[in-house]
Amino acid sequence: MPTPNLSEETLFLPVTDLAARLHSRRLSPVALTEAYLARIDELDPAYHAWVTVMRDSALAEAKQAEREIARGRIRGPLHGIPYGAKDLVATKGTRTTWGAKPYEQQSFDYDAAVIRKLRGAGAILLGKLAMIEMAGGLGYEKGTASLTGAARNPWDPSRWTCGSSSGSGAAVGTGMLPFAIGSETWGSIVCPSAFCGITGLRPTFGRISRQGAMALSWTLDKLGPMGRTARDCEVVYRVLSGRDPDDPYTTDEPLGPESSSAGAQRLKVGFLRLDFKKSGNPSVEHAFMKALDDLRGAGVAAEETRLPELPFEAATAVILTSEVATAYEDLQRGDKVRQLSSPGAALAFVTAHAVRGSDYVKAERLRTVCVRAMADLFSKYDVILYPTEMHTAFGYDQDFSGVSWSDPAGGAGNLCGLPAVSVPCGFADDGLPAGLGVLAGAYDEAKAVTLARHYQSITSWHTRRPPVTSART
Amino acid sequence: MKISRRVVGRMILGTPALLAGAGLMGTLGQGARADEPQASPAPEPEAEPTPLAKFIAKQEEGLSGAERDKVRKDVTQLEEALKVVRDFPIANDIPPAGGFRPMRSVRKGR
Repeated sequence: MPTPNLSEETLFLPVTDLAARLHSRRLSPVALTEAYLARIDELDPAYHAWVTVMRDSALAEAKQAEREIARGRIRGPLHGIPYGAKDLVATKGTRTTWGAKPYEQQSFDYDAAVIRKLRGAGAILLGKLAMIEMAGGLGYEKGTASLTGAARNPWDPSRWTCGSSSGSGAAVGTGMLPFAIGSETWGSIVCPSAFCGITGLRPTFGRISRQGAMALSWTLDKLGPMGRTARDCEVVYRVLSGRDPDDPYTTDEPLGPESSSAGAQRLKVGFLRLDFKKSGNPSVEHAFMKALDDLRGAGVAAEETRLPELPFEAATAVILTSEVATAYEDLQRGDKVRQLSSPGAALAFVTAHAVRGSDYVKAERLRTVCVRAMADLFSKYDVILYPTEMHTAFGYDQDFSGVSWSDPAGGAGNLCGLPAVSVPCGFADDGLPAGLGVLAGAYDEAKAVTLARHYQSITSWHTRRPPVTSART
Repeated sequence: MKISRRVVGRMILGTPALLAGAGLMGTLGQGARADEPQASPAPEPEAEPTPLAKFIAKQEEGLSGAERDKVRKDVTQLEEALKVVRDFPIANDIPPAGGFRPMRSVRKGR
């Protein structure tokens, strides 16, 4: 892979390592940015990770970072680090498509809160990343349901990345950037992280402002980082966290101490035992059980536990159906919804007629019950481990209507706003990555990252690089 | 209907087009089976459309026959999730999770 002056190994370095080189002036922000841009030019025709590459502004930001660093003014751990943002966060002067044809030329005259924070931290925005149209809020049947077509899996371009943060998964996984901003309503950070062999952090609901981000569900949406290591994700997450009056759901809850790899042995750890016999890939189960063994060998014993017997998924479905139907009112007017790739998208509005106002309120009351039950569970455990997904990535154009695939703690975790980290934990027999999920109690991101960091300190799965292919070869 | 995670998982797995979003379909029902046998990946038999499903599919203007079939199927499956929510017993003093805060005014022109 021809990359100006920098090796592929450098482009796959974690943010923390890149920052050390940048801030000691052993690496130039301009050279790093140029190298990533060259890699995007080379690889994106094959992986479809990007909607818009912001070459000129990225190079301008890189030059500014270089000048500041040369003067000894280091803004923080992300100064000079390139990144990309899922194309549902507003960027002033650059289109924000929400991954959908009706919004192909949409433009905002302001930046989203996360973009402002990252710019303030000196990070360099390389561009906007592909996503499933409307973050999948109206349903979709194939990975191709995106303005830019299906993003391709770094480990096998005939496979999908999962969604809806599909471009974020593909770009980080192929080394086109060191970290990306994704979003999750129900699975959209952790699933692409698992399928693409990268690390993702879904923060507690309300930790990161969504001002300027497309709303799918006001009470379920979260923005979060996807990167190489749990520590990288934590660094980004801590920069982005904080109360924002423009997102009334954000919290004043203190961040608390950072994670500590050495602290994992003091954590009380549970794990979910899943039955892979009837569904799921047995080699994914093997990778998960091996991860538990590796942790046990490194002084972290996990005991089997269960989620509370509550209808997390039904409550989430009712809340999501209701909120989506009003979030996308604009699409419902006129014929915009018919421009979406997914033929069934328009029908989601019709189906939503079945939900009564009292159903939504009841689901929110049920959510209170679920939140309390999960808080009680996390009074007994610091973190709970599970296979992020029970399958590996499937074909990019496969119709997955009716296909069962899995995020074992997704309903509970998202309904209750709990943080989770997904880290690579090996490969299944089809050569595709498997993910280890680490779920924590509300506002306990540091515990999840502590466990994940410890796991990454004793394994090397997160350092593996896929055999990427250029469309030109 | 007995409330169980398996039941919830099965019904929501049946609504991929409606709920697939945001990785949603991937997640639906899997939490329901964290400690129980997985449902077969094979499609579940379709339930008989409910009266409400038939009504909604009939009322909506401008749909093709295939779209009306899909609405009937999706509403029928959504109603199973709705039934779980409606039937779940909750004490009177359990409030909705979503909070509402009055907004303090700031006097201007002082």
